[in-house]
Amino acid sequence: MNAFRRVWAVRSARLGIILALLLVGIAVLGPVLLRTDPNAIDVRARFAGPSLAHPLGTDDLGRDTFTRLVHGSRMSLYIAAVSALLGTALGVSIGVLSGFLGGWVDITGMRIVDLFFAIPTLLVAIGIVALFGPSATTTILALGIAYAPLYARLVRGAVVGVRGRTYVDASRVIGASGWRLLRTDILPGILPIALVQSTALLGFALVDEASLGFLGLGVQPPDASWGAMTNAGRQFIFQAPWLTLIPGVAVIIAVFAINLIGDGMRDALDPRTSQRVGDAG
Amino acid sequence: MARYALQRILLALPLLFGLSLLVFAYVRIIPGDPVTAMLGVQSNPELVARLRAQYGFDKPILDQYLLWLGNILHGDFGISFRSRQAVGPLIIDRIPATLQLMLGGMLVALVIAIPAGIRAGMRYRKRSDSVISTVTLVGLGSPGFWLGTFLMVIFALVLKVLPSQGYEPFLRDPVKSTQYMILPAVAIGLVAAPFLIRVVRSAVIEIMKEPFVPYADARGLGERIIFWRYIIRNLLPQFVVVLGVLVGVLLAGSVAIEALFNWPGMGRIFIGAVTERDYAMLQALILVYGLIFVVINLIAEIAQAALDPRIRLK
Repeated sequence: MNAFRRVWAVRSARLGIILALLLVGIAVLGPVLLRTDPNAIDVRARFAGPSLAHPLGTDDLGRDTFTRLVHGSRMSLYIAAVSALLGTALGVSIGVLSGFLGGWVDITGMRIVDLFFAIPTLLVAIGIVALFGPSATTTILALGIAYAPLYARLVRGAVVGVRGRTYVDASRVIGASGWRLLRTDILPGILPIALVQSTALLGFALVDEASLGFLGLGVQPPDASWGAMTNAGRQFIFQAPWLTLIPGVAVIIAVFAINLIGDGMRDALDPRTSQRVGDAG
Repeated sequence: MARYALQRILLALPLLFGLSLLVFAYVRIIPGDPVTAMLGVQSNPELVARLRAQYGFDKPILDQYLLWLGNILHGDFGISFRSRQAVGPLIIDRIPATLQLMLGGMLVALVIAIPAGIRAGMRYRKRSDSVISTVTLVGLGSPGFWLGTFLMVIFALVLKVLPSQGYEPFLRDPVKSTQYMILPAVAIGLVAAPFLIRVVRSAVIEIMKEPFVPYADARGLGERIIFWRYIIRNLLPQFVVVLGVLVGVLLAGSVAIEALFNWPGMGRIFIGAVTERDYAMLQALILVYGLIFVVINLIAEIAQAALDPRIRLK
């Protein structure tokens, strides 16, 4: 709770938290409150401009853009959250194992991680989509796996840094088991870095979901996600560019909010910039 | 210098070898084998067996790898599962367009990011820093295709000053080629710029903390002299970091930008290969993407050592 208060104290982070809560609120409650069907086709109202019935107009099938945007927010935020979580789980496990065990586990783990660095994450993700076929689940899997190597290297570095501290040696000397060392000394030490990185992953995942969707490799029609909506607009880029631009604005706002929080956390939780965390680790 | 360059090149070899293993293993992850994945489970068993033999999938795995690697080293990247054409020439045809786009994007990104990053870093926590950093945060969330669509609407559809889509090889018609290149290059440059600004900004903040900066300030040297004599020079070691970030972002970003602007680069056949499940093509493309990344980074490392004696003499 103390950590949250420190982040909240950063003015820009406060704006980010409010924006993010608003978006999550829309994603959770919006589809329930809106009585309109995101997939309702109305061919007479194709490419309609903004009106009372359709505040953001309609797409090529006459579906209401606003309704799809609200339903899409649920899908996009869900994909971003779960893939960031998967990336975190994989990255932290590999990084902690590598850094804590050392030896050949460390060497093998980090050499494999190095390989992934030669291929940009989005291309790794697209490669995984090619194996399993495009869908919402594949998007999550692909992004989660693609984010793991960078995360693992970061965590490994942090673990190696913490492992050499005096208080860890002290625990070891009084006979703490490996598991206990990990739980009480090492994991709390890397928590701030992990929090900041996981938040960053949320932002990357939103942008990458949009890119995969735009390329037709993400959420598949007729389901709405911000990325999938931009793909529907892609064929009509000259007639109706707003079909691509509007969901993109949603992505930009969401990632902006997340990055504000991330930067705030970095400022508030980084032991190097904040004296107050010194005693905690 | 030559020794350092050779040492770097030798160090890149294990990485390339590992990359080849990764890419080879990639296709073996598919349940069953690539041939059934390509033809579907209920395909004619005779045809499956024939193709399997043709692609060498019936041999032991180690033999398969050695055969595949040997072929690649001879410039044979295999045969496309779909078009039945050799993959190598298909990809080589596409490389110039992608490299041209990346080069243009790199130029745009550097022109924006280096001054902006330095300014933000030198005015850390002041007004210009917060303006630049806020714009950067918005930029980080902007997908490349979104920026591209936005530019296309303004400059091609409304103002009609630039072509919306298309490509012309640079050597055939440099003027026309540049006109076609501007919008996609600016779009991809704008994707890369925020990442670069962050790298440059934090590097400059670190440099500003070095004792020689306040000392120069105390001696009464102006901001301009401090900038040229201390900041710029000490920024040089960040060159490789910057280029690594840049190449990664540009390679990843090129896929969507190529799709949007109908740009005939590697990204287009990459997406085609994914939708058609053309694994021979995918393997080769991933390898080439990795190769481009490794080679550009290698060039950057060597160039940096040429510029900065501290690195090559370490």
